[in-house]
Amino acid sequence: MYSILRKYFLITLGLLPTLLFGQIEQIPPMEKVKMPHNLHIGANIGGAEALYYGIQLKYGIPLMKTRHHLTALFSLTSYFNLRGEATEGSYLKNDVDMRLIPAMGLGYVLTFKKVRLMFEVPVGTSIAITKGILVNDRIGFERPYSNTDMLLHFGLGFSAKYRVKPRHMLGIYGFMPILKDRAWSPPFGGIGWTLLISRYTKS
Amino acid sequence: MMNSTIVGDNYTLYVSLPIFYDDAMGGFPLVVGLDGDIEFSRMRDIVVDGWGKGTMPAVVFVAIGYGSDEANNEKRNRDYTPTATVGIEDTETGGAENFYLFIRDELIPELESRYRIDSTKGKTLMGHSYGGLFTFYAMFQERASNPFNRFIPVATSFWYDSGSIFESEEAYAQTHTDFDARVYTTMGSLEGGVMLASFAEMNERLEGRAYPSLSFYHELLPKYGHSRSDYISYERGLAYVLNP
Repeated sequence: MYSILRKYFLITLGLLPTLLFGQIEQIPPMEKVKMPHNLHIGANIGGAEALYYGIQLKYGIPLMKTRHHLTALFSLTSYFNLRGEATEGSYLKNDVDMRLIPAMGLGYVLTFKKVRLMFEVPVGTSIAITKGILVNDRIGFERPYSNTDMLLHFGLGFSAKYRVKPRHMLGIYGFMPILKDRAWSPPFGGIGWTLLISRYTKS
Repeated sequence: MMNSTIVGDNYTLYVSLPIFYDDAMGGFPLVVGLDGDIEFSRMRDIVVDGWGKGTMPAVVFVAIGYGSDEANNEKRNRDYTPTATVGIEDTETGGAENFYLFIRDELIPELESRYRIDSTKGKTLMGHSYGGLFTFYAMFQERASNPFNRFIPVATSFWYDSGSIFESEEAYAQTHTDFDARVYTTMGSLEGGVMLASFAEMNERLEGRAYPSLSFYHELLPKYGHSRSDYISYERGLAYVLNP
């Protein structure tokens, strides 16, 4: 845990020069700046040992009033393995094989006209839930199973969004774990829509 | 390199002998590992470290490979799968019977002629994933002629061919009343439902047979997925099966 916190600290420290640079490049003075909170909804695909499909909700709160800025992030990601290792004669019934990942973290946002890039370091819990009934017609047995594990979710995230309307952005995002075992929190990527909940207002 | 007339293919053997092999008197237990091209160095580390820590005796360790990682990845599908299936793999499957006969009739006699192997100290077979499937398959072959009496199947691909390995277990139970072996098997808790449920089913079936001479230990490894469960399982498994 200590080494993870140390990595997190170093990555945050690494963002500081960009942060300072960002403060220099101020929004033009004629604009009264109100940095928008934003809500991101995405559809993702990922996995290390199995293929998962899922969704992500993320809420971002800017921590400073600059074009390039740090932001606090709160997210909930879930994804599902829809098929597993099922075969014709051996399949799952009433099954759930999913990950639920509540996370929070820091991100750094770079804004260039209509394009917004964000680098983030999320930390959270990857809750692995697997349960259901295995029906094996070939051998002739049914067996319920259930397992839940709480795992560390930690890594680097990235998103690139394009502003299609004043309050709406579309783009791609991805996550790469920094963990020994990627089965804990697999890499994923997807496409997403972002709603800017408040916006720049001109005085 | 060793040619098998039974399989009709060449195998690359990776061998690790105890450091004091030349100076020692007497023989050693034999441990055979699968996926030799990919796993030999890691398996050898476990064997050497285990002896160094005192968790297992010194052994003659042999890993069976095919000459390269690519060949290993392709030919394991042929050699480790008990039944031929269509569409699961792009390569040939269903060669476990021949591979087992190669080990029993060609490889083991050759190893016994080359190295000081003490059969009374046990012969161990261990494998991961498809290797675990083959380890179970070998386990369920006729006991009297079976060269192995220690088995470590890890993250076994129970899903293969709709769980056909259970038929091997059933066939063994129909023809045997005892199972003189030590078995250690694991599954990572992050595996999918078919694997988790099949693992529990196999454990229950084996325990339900109540074989008087079987020492059987199974372990669900919390927070382990498929790929990383091999190292810890071999380490614990060797300590279990080699210390009766």
